[in-house]
Amino acid sequence: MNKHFDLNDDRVVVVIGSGAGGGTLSAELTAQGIDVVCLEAGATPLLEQNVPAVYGRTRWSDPRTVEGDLNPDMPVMIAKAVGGTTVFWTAVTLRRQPHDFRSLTTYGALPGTSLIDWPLDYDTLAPFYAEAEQRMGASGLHGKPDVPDHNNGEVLKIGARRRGYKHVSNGHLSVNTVPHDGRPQCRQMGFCTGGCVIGAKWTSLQAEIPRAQATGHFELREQAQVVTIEHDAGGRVTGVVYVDAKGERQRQRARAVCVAANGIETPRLLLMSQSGRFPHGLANDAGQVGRHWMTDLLGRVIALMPGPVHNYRGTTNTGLVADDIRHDPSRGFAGGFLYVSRGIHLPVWPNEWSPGEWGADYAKIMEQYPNMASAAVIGEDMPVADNRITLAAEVKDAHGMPVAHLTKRYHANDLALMDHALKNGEEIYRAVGAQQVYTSMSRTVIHNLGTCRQSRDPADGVCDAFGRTHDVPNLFISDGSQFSTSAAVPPTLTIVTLAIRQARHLAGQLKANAL
Amino acid sequence: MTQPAPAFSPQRRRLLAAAVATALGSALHLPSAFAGAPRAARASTLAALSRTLFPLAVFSESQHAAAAAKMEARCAADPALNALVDRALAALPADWADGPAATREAVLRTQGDPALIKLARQSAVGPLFGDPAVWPHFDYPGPSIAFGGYLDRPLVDLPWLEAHAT
Repeated sequence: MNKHFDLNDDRVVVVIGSGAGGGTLSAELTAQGIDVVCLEAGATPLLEQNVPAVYGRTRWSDPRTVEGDLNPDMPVMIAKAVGGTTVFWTAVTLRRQPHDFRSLTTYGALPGTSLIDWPLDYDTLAPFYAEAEQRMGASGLHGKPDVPDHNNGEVLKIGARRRGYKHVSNGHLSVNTVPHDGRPQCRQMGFCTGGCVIGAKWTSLQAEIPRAQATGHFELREQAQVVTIEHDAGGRVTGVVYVDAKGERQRQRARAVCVAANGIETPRLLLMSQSGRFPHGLANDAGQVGRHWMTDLLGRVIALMPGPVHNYRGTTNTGLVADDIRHDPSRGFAGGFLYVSRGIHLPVWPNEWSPGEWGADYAKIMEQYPNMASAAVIGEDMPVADNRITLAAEVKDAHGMPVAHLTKRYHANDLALMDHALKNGEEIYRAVGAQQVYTSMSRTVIHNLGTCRQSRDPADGVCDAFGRTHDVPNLFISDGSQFSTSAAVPPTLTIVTLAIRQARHLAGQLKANAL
Repeated sequence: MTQPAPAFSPQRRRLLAAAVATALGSALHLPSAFAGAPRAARASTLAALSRTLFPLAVFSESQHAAAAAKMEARCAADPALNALVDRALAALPADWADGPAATREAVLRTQGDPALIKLARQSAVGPLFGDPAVWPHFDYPGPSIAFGGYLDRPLVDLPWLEAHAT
């Protein structure tokens, strides 16, 4: 049940964004009796088993300007919807490794990078990781069965074993292998990326937002895009200005503001919130907001096999090869990566295999769709201070606000890692008889990290180990923006984990009137 | 095998009619209804682009026409793109769209504007591969919700794998 709070009610906590971070945080705060207004720029998405149609309606399509290595036509693929990009996610639920929180110590000061250690360690997060995994119903963990084997995963796994890989499994997916949390068992339908039409996949839309609404302490306002965060003379946040579904500006007062608008919009919003006190943007006294943008490295390995695979069947990412998540400098780069199988539906198949090619020979390859097996590479990218989100000088959005300007140039370490991963990925498929293999590094990214990062020293980042900004005591970062470094595993589980931990801390502070 | 295009194919006649209409239109300031002829010719050429990029018999003319319509929709929203398409089409031989597939592909590879090809490719993928009418040809069943997903169906059936043991 959606509660209604007055715009002038300054006892509420405002959460900006309803994805993995904002949705979980909202559910956790409201469970403790804290009143929350969640402002979501998008609308409730209509889900169907037609991925291009869902993407067309639901992706974040506001204009952006692009500089560097990303695809200028589509640099980033994230959602603008209730539930955020969890609507699209493929549910890979893996913990970061202990050394992933000591990146500078582990890798050393690699030239050209802005590596730091996190201000928290793995042991601090471990109990929250366990809680998040249970909450999300992760397969193969805490008594939940594994997801079933399927062809696309088997081809990857068998090839990997033949190549000597040891850490080969079905991985852990936040899809229900048994009914869980009021949501049904996964039917292995195979359209995870368009949103799960039965809600068997954990999404903020289908798990966290309903949980928050059930508390009676929660109001979700859809199509409410925040344009400015306001503060008082003392530098404390007092509320936000947003554009509502009718295009009218509203001001919601707040006792604290938590920003979970994804790693591009979160820093953009802080940068747009300039004032006399914060001339370079809110919480940006050290000039760190928007910097160190990491995207994870994404690669594709697609193989034409000697017989049918029907890779579209079943969960998109069943099948994991995790040997390479270790840090092993003998490979010629720092950090690690993994392979996960990745189903591809026919309507987007030409966008995956050599997406610039065409003609008679290419069409013959397209006809071999049934025989195609496919995996994704996910790898760690290095933080670089000048890979960043800034405000575009010229281009404005529909509300007259400057759009995000994206600058991303891959570090030499990133390219060495991806080159290694793609070559070895090809060998995995050759080991099971692949006749032709196409590999490429994706220039469209889906994870946005580090742009308001946690740091011990306020000079190195934007927020502390609880996500509280160094400069503004009642302003929090609650999404992947707060990551100090990326990792060889996808970020969602860690975003949820950090949100649970932040909520407990914030609720305690609010109840003690200590904020 | 390449075959010479008939001298006065329907496509050629449309192009000629379009050229005449354009010339007359410019000279006489005729009502805009006459602009229909060049638009039709352009639509045919854009459909030929789709056919050249993805030359599979399974794709129907109406699918290629849908691809052409998508290109036109993007041009309608972007005057610079529209001008680019005009220039790029003018740079192709007048009878390009009437040629046999191999000739069309060869000419497009040497004389096709990369931006035109990119537009055509982006526009064609959805109408061609997203049309359920062609899915059986690719052994793709599409949505699985109607039959309850694959949970109770064979998820692992790779009979060819044994023959490829290393």
